[in-house]
Amino acid sequence: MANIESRDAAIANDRVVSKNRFNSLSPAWNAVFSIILILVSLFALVPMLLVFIVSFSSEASISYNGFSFFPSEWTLAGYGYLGKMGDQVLNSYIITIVHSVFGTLCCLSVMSLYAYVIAQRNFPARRFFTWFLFFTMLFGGGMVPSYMLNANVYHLRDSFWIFIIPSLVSAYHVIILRTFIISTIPETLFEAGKIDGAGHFRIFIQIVLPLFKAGIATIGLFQLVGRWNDWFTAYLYIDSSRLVPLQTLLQKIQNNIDFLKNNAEIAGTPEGLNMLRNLPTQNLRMACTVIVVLPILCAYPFFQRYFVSGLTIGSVKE
Amino acid sequence: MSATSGAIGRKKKRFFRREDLALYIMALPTVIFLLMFCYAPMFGLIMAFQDFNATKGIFGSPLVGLKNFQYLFATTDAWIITRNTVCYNLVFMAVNTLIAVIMALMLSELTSRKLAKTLQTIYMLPYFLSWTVVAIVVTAFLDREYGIVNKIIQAVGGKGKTDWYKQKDIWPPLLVFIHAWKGVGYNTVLYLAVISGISQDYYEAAVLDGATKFQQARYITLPHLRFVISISLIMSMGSIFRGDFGLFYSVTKNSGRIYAVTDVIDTYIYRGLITLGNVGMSTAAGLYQSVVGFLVLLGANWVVSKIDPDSAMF
Amino acid sequence: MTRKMVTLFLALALVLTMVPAVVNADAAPAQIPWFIGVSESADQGIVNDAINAYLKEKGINAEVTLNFGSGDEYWGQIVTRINSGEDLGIIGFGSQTKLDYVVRSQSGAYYPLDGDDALLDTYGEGTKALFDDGVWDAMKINGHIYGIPTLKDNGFYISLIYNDTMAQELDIDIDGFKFESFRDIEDLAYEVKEKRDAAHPDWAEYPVLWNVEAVHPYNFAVENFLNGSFFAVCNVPGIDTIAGYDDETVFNIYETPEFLEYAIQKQKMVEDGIYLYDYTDKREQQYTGAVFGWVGWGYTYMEEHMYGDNFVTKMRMFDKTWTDTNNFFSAGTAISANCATPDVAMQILELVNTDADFATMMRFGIEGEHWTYDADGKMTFDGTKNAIAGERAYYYWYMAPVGNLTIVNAPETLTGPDSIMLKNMMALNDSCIKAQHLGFSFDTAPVTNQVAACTSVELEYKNDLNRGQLADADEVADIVSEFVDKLNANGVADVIAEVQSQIEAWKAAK
Repeated sequence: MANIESRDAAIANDRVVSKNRFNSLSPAWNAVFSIILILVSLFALVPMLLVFIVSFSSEASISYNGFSFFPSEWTLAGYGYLGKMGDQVLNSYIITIVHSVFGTLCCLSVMSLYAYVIAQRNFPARRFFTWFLFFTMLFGGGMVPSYMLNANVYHLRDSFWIFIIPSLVSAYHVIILRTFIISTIPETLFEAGKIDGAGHFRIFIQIVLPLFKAGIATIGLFQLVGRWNDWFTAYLYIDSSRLVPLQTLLQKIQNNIDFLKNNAEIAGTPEGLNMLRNLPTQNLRMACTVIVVLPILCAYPFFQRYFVSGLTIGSVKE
Repeated sequence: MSATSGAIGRKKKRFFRREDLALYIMALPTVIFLLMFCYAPMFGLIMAFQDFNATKGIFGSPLVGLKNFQYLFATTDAWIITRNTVCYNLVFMAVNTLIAVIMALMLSELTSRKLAKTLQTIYMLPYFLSWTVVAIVVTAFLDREYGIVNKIIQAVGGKGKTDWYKQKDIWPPLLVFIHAWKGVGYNTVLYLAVISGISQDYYEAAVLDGATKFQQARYITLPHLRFVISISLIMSMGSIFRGDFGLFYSVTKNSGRIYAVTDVIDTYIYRGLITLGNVGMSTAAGLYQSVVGFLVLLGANWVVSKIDPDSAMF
Repeated sequence: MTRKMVTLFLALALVLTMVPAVVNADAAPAQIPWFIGVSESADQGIVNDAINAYLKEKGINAEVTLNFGSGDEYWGQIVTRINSGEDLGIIGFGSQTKLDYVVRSQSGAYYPLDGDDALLDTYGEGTKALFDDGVWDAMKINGHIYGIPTLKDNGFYISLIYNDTMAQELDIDIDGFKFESFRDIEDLAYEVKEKRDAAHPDWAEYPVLWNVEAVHPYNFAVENFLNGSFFAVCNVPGIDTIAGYDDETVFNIYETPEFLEYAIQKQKMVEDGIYLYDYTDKREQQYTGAVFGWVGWGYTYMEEHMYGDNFVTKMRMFDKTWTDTNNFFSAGTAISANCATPDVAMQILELVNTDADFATMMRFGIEGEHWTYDADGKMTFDGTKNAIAGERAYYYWYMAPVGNLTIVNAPETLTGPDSIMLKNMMALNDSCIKAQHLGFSFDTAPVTNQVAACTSVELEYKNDLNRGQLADADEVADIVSEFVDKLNANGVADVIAEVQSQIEAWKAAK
């Protein structure tokens, strides 16, 4: 016991260096893995690169050469169009950040509490609560009754809370959280806590929370990304422009342009046609994708330190 | 006297123990939420059995029994779309899990943490692209006139005029690849998170016993992942009758000649209902997919519980 | 004693609370949202206010909120809201809005205009007079009128818009051939291609004709009973596109020899470069001056620089024009089934269909701000917020889902000198051939499954055939026969029989 403790302490102090010396991959295998993984990453990078390049390609170039890595003509038209409605875009960014972050925090608290409950092996009502949750994953009434309830009964139409409340619990994520609790936190810790006389709340806050940071960070990331990408909620429920999130705004802009272009012939005079033909469409679509993805990429490292393995952060301490 | 009251008293005490009160309170917010936002709307399922009329509303429209379900089976393609949906889902599950596990293992062992972090961020990129954008990327490769594939073929002397969107044979592997490309990053993150929670003591003990890296992975890492993998797979079984609409419609550009291998239940529903616009029929289709998925999931769970009781969901 | 006093007090309180309600009943304006399927614009807020002020001026006690939105997702969410029983005020329907009139009416989305409160007769006299009884009959679904069609080009007025500069240069005779469908244009197209490529070799890669990929109405003049599907159609009297059928018999166009001929012709023309294999994202090519012809629908007047300054555009219309029931469903307005004040909504619709100032304001905005009169007293956008196309603050030409186009004031650049476009439009509405079964609309309920299955089959095959995206004539023949077999296997005969029997019943009842 004492040996392991002191070794743990020594390791914790030495951290990276001693860990690596202790149990690291041989340099040869490391090179092989690195090369394989880097090659695989190209599959993810190349399409993103194409998206980026198309966002700077002109409509004429796309019309004559298709979507190419080497467009014949470069342009800032896509971003310029978005820049023209700068205020709206900025407002949408803000509202999206606010509802994503706040929504994630709310749902993490509620969901992790429930995950804790259904992870309790000795809880008689455990099966009932698991089923109660899980059933909702499989069966749903559909959009019409949800809309009826949200709009007419719960009065969430055109309100900030439509982003937070109806998406407070995701059954799939709760099950994953439960999985984390069961796999990473041994029964003995709960016993120890109970013996010490702690109630469930104390155990949750003092023992469980610090240990399943990886689980919370993972689900937190998934939730944040899901909320950030969601454009449909606002499409259906939001009318006032100050509450329109980024993805919805971009979706509307793309729809408007598609509409204008498809109706160009009956929509205007010849000069109009000339103007409209330069209206960005595909490059705008890509520009929208880029400005949506970039902030998440910046947020990503924040979450990463909780679940990149190999270091002693997050390991169980006896 | 004592027997009955004792029995009742015991049962009562066992179910509502004092110490469980905190648990009930912790579960309360979620329970209220589920009732309000998941169970309450379920009354809408009745539309699957109604000839829905917007003026009469849900509570006034006439019931028509199973009539709304018939169109799903009235087509000569009923077997094809079902087969496609199920088979693709099974292959997706197997391939995605396999690749994600292997990548998570490799990533967790890389010496350079910086490289591991950077790679992990890159792998998540495809997840953010909408299927519309993915369809455009695929077009850049497969387009008959401007696509990179045809240009390469022309460069090496071939004719390079094939319309790939009409070639049946390439689409099954292509769709598996595209689906994996988009979804593997997500799963890798999940598995990495689990791996990071495995106590280093296990590995230390293993090394002391002289285990190789491969043996460590096999006897320590994988068993820890087993639970989360089997839970993910069982839950995916619940959606086995649902096809990802964006993938099978947008990416394939809804090309008719390859329907035999790309048509799934959701795309058929969409096409069939474009002109009919019948909300009762679309609700019926959703209900059908849910019920079948539910039964399959129970079956999968039962099978898993027989093999390894700890990995089952229930 | 106390109980009596309490009751008296409560009664008094109740009466007192009702007084302000009674007093204010007239004052509260009806809240009416209006859903129009066109895109949003910068000044829609101030125009909305101006419209409300105008309504007040005209004595209509309502506050309208204009809702703009386009795209499939937008209309998908409107359908959800309709089905959930929301009061959606006034809703536009038709091809621009993707809200199919027949389907929505049958599923109870709209308020009947000839119900017990006889809205159309009471408040819509002027609107009613715009169309004759045959048309109002056509708007009846399950015995009631649910929508007001838009008075515009109410028929299939199909034309070939052509590049006159090129026609002059290459000495092409544009008037010397029978022109009843785009199938008749083969010889002309090949002549143009030959001459054009000889004179401009660098234009050889450009198509001669722009996209023409619909069976109906561009290639076959038939009366259609379904929504966008053509496996149950009927000949139009006087045109008789398909040999062997009279104009009373319903048939499946895909199994006719004429269709096979058309599919083979299409494939050949794509292979020979008359049409492009794929038109997506190639819009630019239209403006180069290399393309010869486009399809036009509803152009009753052709401006000279339709596709830019490089060349002059003119048009030649089909020799025969016709109309059928579906035409009147292609654009119009309806009142939401759960509208709180349908009578007020009807008054607004009457105004927009009869009042020129209101109709103009809906489309072009506020006088002085978005349009004005020039020195000659002619309407123009110069010097206003609508001056620069692509940056217009509030501009919706046509705005078909709103109502009567013919009373709109528009500048000469749009409707031609002396509003010739609108005049031609009205003339054609009168003179075009009326389909045999104008007034009949098909109820799909008895054959829903077959319609769903056959629609799915049609969507599987039609694109390849209509776009000529096949290898050669043999493949076309194989695919067409596969297509017809599959339709038959999925019950198309049942659909045709059902349409026929409903038509007979409708005729007998007249």
